[in-house]
Amino acid sequence: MSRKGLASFDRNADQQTKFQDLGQAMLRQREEQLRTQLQVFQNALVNFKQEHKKEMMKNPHLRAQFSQICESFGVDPLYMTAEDDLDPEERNNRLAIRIYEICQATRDLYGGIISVDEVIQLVTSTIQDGWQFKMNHHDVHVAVESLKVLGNELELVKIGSKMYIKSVLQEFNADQSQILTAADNIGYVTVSILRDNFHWKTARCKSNLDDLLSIGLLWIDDQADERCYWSTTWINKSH
Amino acid sequence: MSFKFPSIYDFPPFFTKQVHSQTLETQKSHWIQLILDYCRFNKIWILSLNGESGDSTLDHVDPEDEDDDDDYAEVTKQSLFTNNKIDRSLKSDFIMEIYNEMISKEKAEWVNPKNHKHGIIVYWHTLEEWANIIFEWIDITGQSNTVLTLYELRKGDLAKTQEFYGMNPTVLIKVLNVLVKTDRAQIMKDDNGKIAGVKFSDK
Repeated sequence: MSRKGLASFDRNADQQTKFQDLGQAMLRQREEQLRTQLQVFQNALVNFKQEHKKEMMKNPHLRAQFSQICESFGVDPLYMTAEDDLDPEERNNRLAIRIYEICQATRDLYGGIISVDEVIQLVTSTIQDGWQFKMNHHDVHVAVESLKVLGNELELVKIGSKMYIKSVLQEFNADQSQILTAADNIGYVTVSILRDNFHWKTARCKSNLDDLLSIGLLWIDDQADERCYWSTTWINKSH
Repeated sequence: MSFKFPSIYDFPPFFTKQVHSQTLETQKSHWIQLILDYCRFNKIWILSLNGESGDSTLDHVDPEDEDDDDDYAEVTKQSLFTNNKIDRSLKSDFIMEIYNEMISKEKAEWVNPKNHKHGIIVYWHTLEEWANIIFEWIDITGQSNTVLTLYELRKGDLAKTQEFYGMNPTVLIKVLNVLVKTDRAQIMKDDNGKIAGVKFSDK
């Protein structure tokens, strides 16, 4: 049907939109197909590893080639098998890597210490490449211990009654530990809180607080009646 | 759906400029990330000095008002820089410091370098990225070699689902200039020198 006059303009515009829609639909379809293909291949890789696990353990050449293929398909060979399939040593190594990554990632923000509880929460709440770790305090101990062979970068410390992983060299004296414990309990401390509860002189409060500020373990809040020194452990706490 | 603030937004010291230099760096980089995420989510192209969308207020600022170098602006309750839940807000000199850092990192630009009152253009994509996004879309939708008005690009029906839909005209012109410089578009002006339309080249 050919339209004459003004109506032919409508048709023109009409057609243009239709062509555009068609073009976009085709692109979407192709993308979908490619994605499915990739998924199929990734699954095949996972199956392959499960079937040939033993062989791969023994044959470093095969292992290297396999890793290479995995890499080019965006699959992390480390994280490919289910947790139950792992032997304890490999499981521990993976946990250690995750813990190390978390300590690194949060170091600037937290000033280099993070509670073991938060580490566990972070590890168990993230799903990486389709699977999830289950872990407890004991696992963290073992994992951090095993990292010692690579140097003493991570260390477990007890402050008050809580365990932390420390990734800075800083040692804490008794006063500082007391401050950190108090700050972790209620979120922050002030000079008056320290004076009233620990019966310290102002200078003693100040110098310890300044030390903890200077390593980034406390942040100041000046919008309250008195300067509050907040613990970085409260950054991710849901109130 | 409203924007989900990161948990550090509920941490009261986040709103006080930190004294320790390393902590301050961390604090500023978290603010910058938050500003970018927030503006991207809410489609804010221009952010005023007090942290509100500057798109609507832009027209009310007198363009002749060039000699005013007072960068102070009241931080209001609706501002991104106020958290009413914990009753904390950023001081305006610290906001300026964050803006300046964004500018030095090419994440933002003064709308008018001579008069900061107009606020900043926020680049959650760089101008080059925007240029690529728009050029790619023109190509896919078969609109190469047709003349489009700025309005069609910003508010056209076809562009509705695109990330650049509703882009502030000032920003759009900057993006188009990038495309012109790289020979991917031609700008057509009317007799008064106003942009009448733009034609994109073939890929």
